[in-house]
Amino acid sequence: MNGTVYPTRGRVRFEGTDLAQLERYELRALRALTGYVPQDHALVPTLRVSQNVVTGKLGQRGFWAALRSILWTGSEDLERAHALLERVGIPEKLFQRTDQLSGGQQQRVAIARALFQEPRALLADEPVASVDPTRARDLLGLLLEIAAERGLTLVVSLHDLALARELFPRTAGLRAGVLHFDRPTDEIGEDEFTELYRLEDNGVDG
Amino acid sequence: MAERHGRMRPPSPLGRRGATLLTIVAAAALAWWALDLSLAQLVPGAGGAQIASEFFAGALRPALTYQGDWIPPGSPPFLVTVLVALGKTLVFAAAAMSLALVFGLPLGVLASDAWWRRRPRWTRTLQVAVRTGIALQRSVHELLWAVIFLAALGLNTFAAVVAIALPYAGTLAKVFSEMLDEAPRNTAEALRSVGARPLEAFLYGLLPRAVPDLAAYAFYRFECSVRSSAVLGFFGYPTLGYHLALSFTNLHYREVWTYLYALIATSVVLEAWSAALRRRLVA
Repeated sequence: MNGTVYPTRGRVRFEGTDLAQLERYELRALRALTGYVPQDHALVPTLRVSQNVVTGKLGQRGFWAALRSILWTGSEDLERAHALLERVGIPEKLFQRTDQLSGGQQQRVAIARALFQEPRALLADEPVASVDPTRARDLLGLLLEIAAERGLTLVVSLHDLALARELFPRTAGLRAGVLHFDRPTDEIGEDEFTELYRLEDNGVDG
Repeated sequence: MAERHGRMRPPSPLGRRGATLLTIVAAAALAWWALDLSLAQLVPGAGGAQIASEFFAGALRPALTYQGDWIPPGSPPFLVTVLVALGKTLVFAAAAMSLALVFGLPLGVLASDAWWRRRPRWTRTLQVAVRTGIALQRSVHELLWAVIFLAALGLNTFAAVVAIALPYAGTLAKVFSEMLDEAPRNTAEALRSVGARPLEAFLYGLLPRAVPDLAAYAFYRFECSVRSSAVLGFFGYPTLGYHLALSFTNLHYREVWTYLYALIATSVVLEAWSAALRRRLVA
């Protein structure tokens, strides 16, 4: 949905522009507006948390500014990073080495990195795939709160349909790459969910 | 199944693995036969046994002062000579290694698939050129490079450093490129997907994921370069090898052992240091 993989059929549009029609630099600019929280966090374990967070801005800075921000992070960046870590609940980890954090904490760092970007939309790929059910609810709650606070579009992919039904206003059901439904969650019947689950399950919610 | 095919049998013992094993054994036998090796050659004659026993007796009593009756006037105490030789060995190694790193890292990046992955196809010819270059550097041993430079430049300090740095840069580049290709790519891809340029994704996403491995390997190569630098002394450079050869020709075996112990102790210290560094980097 951020132009990493192109659709074989149909179109992906972001605020009205078709991603497949964009020049490379235009796509880059657009990606810079789309925050992304990968399933595996994709942080650099040997860097400090603060350094990982400032890489969120890479797409929006010139080469030298980016280099400087990572090697000698300025106080403005540090304050913003600290505020974001506070928002996700781990402000004390700012200068820790990232690999000293637990999996759940690392996920929060990945969220802070995406927010550092000041995106207009936030994509989270299976954020709760490797988290226990209570934590899953907390984490999705946090993402939803943040999205509401900042007016972000939040797109989350989930395998757990119960969570999707409980927390998200709109659900799109995908099976083997084919869209089965895309409607407000309340309007989707029980049978449609079971049908989706029958063979291979995969849900996308927004 | 078993009934249809008669008795069940395991696959032929002489499958591919068996053939490989047999080939290795045959090659070894051929080599021994070609060299006419026999264990009798390992039994020294009377004179040889005498020298050997003297030499190994020295192991128990390494020299603390010069052996021999005549010591050139103005010579520093023996242990100072050992320490100076050791220091020079380390200095040659450090100089060579710094040069090897400066060239090895960029060459390693240019030889890696990770660097060229998202670039136009024709640029791969550059990668092939770099890979050929580093293969050539590596295929000549540092002692042979030293012989070549010695012939061309005489007993020149810089020549010794370059002789070590050349093949070492090649080896570093080769291994670095493999490490870069094996480093996890997810960070680089995540950075690209939020708008980072390919160079930035490489620098901040891929390279740091490989750094612990790169650093640990570079340190290991530094250990190797200390041994290489010691051996270059046989050509007359003032490293441990020079003193080793001198003491050996003078039959001062106890001095030889002192130099050997100095080299071994240095290797052990460096080894422990690099193990600690690896633990810190990878933990």
